[in-house]
Amino acid sequence: MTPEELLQKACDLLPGGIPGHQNPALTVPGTFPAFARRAEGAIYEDIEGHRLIDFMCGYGPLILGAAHPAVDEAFTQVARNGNCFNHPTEWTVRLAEKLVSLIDFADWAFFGKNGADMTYWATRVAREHTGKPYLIKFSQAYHGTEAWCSDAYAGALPEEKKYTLICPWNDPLALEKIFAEKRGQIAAVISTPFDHPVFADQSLPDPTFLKTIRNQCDQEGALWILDDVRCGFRHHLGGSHRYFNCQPDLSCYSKALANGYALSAAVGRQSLKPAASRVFATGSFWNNPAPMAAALKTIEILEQTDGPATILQKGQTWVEAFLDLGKKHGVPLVYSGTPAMPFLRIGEPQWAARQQDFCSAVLREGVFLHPHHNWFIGLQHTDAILEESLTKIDRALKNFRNA
Amino acid sequence: MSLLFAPLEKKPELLANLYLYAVLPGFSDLLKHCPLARAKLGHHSFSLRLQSGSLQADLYFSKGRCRFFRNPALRPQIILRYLSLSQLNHQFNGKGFALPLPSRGATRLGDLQAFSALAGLLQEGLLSSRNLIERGLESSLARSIHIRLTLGCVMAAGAELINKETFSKNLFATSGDWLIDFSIASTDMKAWLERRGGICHWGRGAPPRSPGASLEFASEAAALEALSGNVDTLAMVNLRTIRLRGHTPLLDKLEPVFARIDPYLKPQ
Repeated sequence: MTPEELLQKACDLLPGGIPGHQNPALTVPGTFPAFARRAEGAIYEDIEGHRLIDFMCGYGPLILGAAHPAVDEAFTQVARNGNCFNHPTEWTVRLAEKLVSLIDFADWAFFGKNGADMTYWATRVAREHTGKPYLIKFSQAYHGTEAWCSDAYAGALPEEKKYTLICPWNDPLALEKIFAEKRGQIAAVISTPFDHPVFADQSLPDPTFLKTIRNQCDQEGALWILDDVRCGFRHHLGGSHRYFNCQPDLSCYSKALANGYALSAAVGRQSLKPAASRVFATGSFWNNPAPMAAALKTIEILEQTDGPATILQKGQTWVEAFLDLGKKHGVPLVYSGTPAMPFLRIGEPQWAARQQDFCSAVLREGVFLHPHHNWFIGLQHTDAILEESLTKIDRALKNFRNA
Repeated sequence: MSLLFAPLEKKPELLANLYLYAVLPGFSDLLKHCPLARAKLGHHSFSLRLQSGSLQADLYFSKGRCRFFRNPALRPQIILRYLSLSQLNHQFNGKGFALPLPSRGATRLGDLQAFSALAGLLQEGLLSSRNLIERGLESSLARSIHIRLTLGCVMAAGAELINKETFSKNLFATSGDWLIDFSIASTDMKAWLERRGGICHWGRGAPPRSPGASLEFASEAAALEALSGNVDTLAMVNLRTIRLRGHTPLLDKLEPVFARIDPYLKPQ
């Protein structure tokens, strides 16, 4: 079957062809690949066998690289004895113990499969604990596809969004205003460590803004839920709040936790444990031990290699070299985000279309950079791989400028 | 998209706006591209206003052409006055009493007859190409006229909804200024939709400025399929029968707006 035939078949058999964020419609259809074949380390092959240096890392999970031998071995060893039981295994307790030891404010852990399992559950814990109905989220933040937190309307009821109040990011006055307007009714503020929307620049938090979140929550008896699903373990092994110097009450993790195996976790303070135990949430696969073994191995490797610091350093060097290439070719580039999760775009008005052209040019050279979503740096990005990517980006910038 | 999240607004003024400012501009396209329409107009030359309260729209028919004016300056030869917005809406949706009061030009019976025939043709052309084929038009021309009328109506109705309907207005409340262009490959069919200074406008042809996002239908058939609604749009994008470029979230936001046009204009 040719790639075109496969895509046609997918479009016949699956709603949207390829549902969700992996839909090629969200990149550049016809240029970006629609299907993958294999991956190893930082290299990803599309279905036609094009070798691509991957800076999307499965949209975040691959912090050590694809098909990591040690992580896969940890997973496989456990899975050989079964991966789905009538009860949890010791791996659930071992991973909880590990997370509690790593994350400074955490006294307990809870597990699921997807980031959205945890963010939604955490909002219910906050409501249960505070007895208050409203949530505050920031305007472009993504916490999953559920109606309470997404911009989507298809199949949604107004009632599902009624208790979610939207606040602009980095606007302490707006946050205070919402708290004042709903005095005594706010259960939680849910935020990501920094603002990482699609089709827009990333925005780091102002320290005063983070202080305002904490102060307002404390004054009003609300909780702060940190959605660390995308950023977690890339900035600090103890959670991104350590990197950004803030203190949430609950944190949610997934993506990089198990280097590509399906697992999510929430952690929280002791005082929230009674409420957390009352909010019933479960799934047939939530206690599967093999992904938990993979998570423990991932964390072990990150600890041994000083993973987050190494990633930040690699990212910093790469971003600086990338920006230099832009200058060399006279292509204005705008950098935003963190070195671990950078996003560089063409610095022009109406940049989205030009960015699509640029990322298409980079793709043709063999580097996968998403045109509208932040990129990810991981330990798989060795110096040699980063150097090779810059050589290819150099060529792409030259072609792009001359096009 | 279903109307579950935001049911249609039951405001006669909103519907009247859609009929006056999204349906009536179709006369220009109809006269320009449909030989049947030009034959029906024949030698007639007249200006006509549809009016109810402060809402009004003028049509100038002359020399086989029609020009639409939303804010007319001259007094037309014929004024069809509706006693209420609901009465005006009945004229378009065929429900209830709709006979207008000709407050001017009541004796221009020939012109009124020509207008009535053209209005019937516009309605048929908007509904499907089949009616035009039955009237003797070659099928590809009939289809192209139907698509042209639909495209214009969708753009104009989209602009009206974004300006006046609470749900659609809120969708774009924080999205700043934008311009999106729409086209159908291998044809001259182009249109654009723009929000500038908080007001949404539309137009035919190439966009006045560089657009923030573009949507190109690969063919007339693809346009027809997509504009008729209830299709797997994402699959069409993946198969490149719809080609997107630029800031595509704007197009995502437009989808639920466009999906509301038919339920307003073609109530069950």
